[in-house]
Amino acid sequence: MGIVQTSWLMAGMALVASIFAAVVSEGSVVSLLLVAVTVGVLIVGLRALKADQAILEKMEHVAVDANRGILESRVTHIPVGHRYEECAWAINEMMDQTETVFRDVSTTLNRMVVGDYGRHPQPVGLRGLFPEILVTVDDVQERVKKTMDSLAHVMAGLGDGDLGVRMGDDVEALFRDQVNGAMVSIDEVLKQFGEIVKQLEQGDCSGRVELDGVKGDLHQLGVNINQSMEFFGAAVTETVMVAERMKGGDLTARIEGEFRGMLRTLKESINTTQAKFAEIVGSVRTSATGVNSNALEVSNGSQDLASRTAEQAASLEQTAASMEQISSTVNLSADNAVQASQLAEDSVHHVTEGTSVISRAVEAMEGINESSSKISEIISLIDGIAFQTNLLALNAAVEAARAGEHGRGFAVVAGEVRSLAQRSADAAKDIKGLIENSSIRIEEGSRLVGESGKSLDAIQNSIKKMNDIAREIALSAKEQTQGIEQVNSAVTQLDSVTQENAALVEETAASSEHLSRQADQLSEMVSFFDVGVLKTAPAEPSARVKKAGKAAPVTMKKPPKAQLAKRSAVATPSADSEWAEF
Amino acid sequence: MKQKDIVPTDRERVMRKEDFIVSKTDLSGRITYGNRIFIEFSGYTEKELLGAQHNIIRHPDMPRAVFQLLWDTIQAGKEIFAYVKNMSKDGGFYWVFANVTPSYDVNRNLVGYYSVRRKPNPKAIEVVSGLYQVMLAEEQRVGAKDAIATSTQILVDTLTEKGLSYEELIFALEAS
Repeated sequence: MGIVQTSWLMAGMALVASIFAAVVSEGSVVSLLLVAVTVGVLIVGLRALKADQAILEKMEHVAVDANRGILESRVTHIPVGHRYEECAWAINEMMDQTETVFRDVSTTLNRMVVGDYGRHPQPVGLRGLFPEILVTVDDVQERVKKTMDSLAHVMAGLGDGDLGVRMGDDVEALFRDQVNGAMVSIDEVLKQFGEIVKQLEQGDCSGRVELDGVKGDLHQLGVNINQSMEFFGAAVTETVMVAERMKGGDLTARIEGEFRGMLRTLKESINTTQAKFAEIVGSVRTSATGVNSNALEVSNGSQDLASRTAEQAASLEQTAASMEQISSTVNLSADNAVQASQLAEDSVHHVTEGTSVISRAVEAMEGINESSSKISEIISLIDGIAFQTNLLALNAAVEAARAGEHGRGFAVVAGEVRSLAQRSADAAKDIKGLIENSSIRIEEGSRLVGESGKSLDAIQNSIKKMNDIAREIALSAKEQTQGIEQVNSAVTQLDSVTQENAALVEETAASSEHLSRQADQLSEMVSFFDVGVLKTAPAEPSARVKKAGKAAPVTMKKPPKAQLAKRSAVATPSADSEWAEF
Repeated sequence: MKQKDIVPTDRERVMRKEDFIVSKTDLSGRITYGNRIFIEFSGYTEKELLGAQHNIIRHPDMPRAVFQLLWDTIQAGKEIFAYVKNMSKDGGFYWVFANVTPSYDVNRNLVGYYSVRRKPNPKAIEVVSGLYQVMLAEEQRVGAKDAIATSTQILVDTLTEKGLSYEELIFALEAS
């Protein structure tokens, strides 16, 4: 054996010592057996020790692993009939029980961790205290399950809005009381909330949550609700106040409180509405004034127009009468003109006749004149013959003188002839003078007749012109008659139109009076509202007045004094006393 | 002796209340440990069991769908409870109420499975054996290809009909 066996022995003793130590500390029967076996080994001999080494190492391995918390190791290939066989199986059984319990508890708890309470630990087959642990775990699981189920029931109730749900008596009292207490708190507070909301529904904002004993978020919620109620109440109160003042016609009231969200929107809406309403009322007031003054103007204008229309109607009647007179006069003129024309034609006829007489007279005169000339020529001839005769007689006398006595008789004849010639020459001279005179007179007469002819022509022309004029007069008179008839019918129409106008003017007057009254009423109505200081400039109504003045320039040549006065009243921003005048 | 050569017999081994079968396998189902009760009920020696496939004790009356479910469940890292009819080396059988849990090393790697078999509630066995018979008959009727799907459907239909999950059914049966 030698050194090797000694070392084995030493090792064996060391193992015995360690196991013995384990035995002392664990007090296990199995270990005692081990001690016995080991002691036996030592006693039997070193040879036996060597044969036992393998199984001992396996057991040691399991023990060491178990000591490290590793429960999986087992002793395997245990020799049947070996003296450590029982020991090895005992170790294995111990590890089986331990590992099984560990796995069972671990698996169950792991599933409980994720809320699965459906796995039940299996105590069957386990021995000693091991099944008790599992039964306890199952019991704990059952309690947790019940608690969680109950809690889930409560939570489901909460989820469904049922605050009356409570944990049952099967749940542990401490936990149950906590949960149920919390539920009661929440329930009570929420009931209070409900009451407050119900009151709110009835229009009562005075409800508040009683916060004594209420803690945490619920307390904060209560505080928030109370605050909300405060704000809401204040907002409603202020809104009511503003509305009340509005009811009393005061549009100057505003909501002054600091609000948020919808309340702020409400506040701003009401304030804006108030402002806008005030503005509108102001505008209406101004417009009413304008309308009133315009209506008055229209009314006045209408009255003016009415009287003028009446005057116009009268004038028209007069015109109609005058027209009739004119018509008859014109007719008379036309008749006269026709007569004049007739007369003129007659005159022309006569004048024409006169002219032809004169022409013939002129012709006769010219004939006389010609004859006179011829007579004058004849007389000149006679005168020449007388001269020649005288001369011949003289010659005959001379010859008779020379013929002496024989010629005396002759000389006497010649003397006679000579005296006759002288007297013929003298008579011719006289006739010539007379004829010349007559010719002069005839010329004069001819000239006069020519002039007469010219005058007659002129007269004839004049008469013709007169005739033309008379015709024209007659024509004109006809046209005038037609014109007068048209004028007459126009006047008749004008008359009926004027009548209608008069009626319309009356209606307008009535309407404008009505309008004026309504404007008064409107003014009176809006004067009910207090809009504070009127901001509207008076430019607009005065412009309107101007415009109205322009629109009826004929009837409004001179605006009535009253109207001017009212205009100035409009131009000045009104005081209530002035409004009362309307 | 190969498992398929064993002829099933009517000899039943009934687990006692304190009996507690423990076995371990690696990931492929090879037995790495079996306790003495396992040795006793299976009829194999420890030496025979170690390294053998766990289906060494598989009884031909068991529907394949049940093992499919078992393996699907534990391979997914979950535990499973199941009533299992096992066959001993001598062809006899014993019903167990099995619980299989995955085993992890310190680094949380899946390294094998741990199975504890306890005495089942006899009332539960009456129900389960009937169900298994139906499932098995159906598996044999439709053939290997559709066996598991068809049989699983029967199990699913049963659960649907009762309005229970598989585990709820098991616990309900065990508590009956």
